[in-house]
Amino acid sequence: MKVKEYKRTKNKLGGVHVEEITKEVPDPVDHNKIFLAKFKELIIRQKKIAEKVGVTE
Amino acid sequence: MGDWEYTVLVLQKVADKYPWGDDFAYLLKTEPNPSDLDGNDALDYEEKTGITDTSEASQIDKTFVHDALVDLNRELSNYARAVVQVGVARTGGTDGNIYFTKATFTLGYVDEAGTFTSIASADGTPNFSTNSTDYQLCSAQAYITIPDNTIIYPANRIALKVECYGYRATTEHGKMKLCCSRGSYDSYLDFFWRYV
Repeated sequence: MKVKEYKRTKNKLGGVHVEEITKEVPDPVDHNKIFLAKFKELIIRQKKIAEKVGVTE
Repeated sequence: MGDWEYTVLVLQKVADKYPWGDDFAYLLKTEPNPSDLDGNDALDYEEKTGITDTSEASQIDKTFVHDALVDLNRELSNYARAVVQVGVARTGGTDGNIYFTKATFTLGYVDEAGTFTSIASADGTPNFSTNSTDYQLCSAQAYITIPDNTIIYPANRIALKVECYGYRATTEHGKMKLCCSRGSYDSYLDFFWRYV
């Protein structure tokens, strides 16, 4: 994703110049999404184990 | 004669105008507008789009008038300070700069016909610039020296003429806004006055 940053320097008139810099950065980590995926994986594993040991409930 | 009172008059814009002269939409108010006035965000700034000048030129020129609710003689202090918050941004595609170089403040009054008369003026010179496509804000301020015994009579209203100067890089296009947000003190005039 693209983000904007602002850098302040002195300009040729002796005043302040605000430079806009656009940067490409990695997308932010969606912790909820990761947790949900792991949770689903855990449920599937539990089901498989339950089938192996013959637990129906 | 009253005591000297510290006064802040904040620059504000309204849709329903103050009935003085030709009616004024640009006001100097002792309190800001309600922050949700008219539900109209356009009251929060005065904007100039399509800046074409490539050397310093006046981009925004507005006169703000005190919406006095009572007619009184008011004597002004020896100095006033004017502050304006201005934003500039580029609107072209060449990554060039837009400049806010100067604000000229002229303190004066408007008569009942709406004619402005100057008392004194001063410049603030921020010489600010940016290549941003989002508005970047910069305030300018200046002290205005007021002649002794300056009195605003009931037939007049104190007024502040604000001129914001700037320009664009040769290949660029730009815009400028004078901030006068409802509910805040973006731009204001402060001084002392007393009733005489």
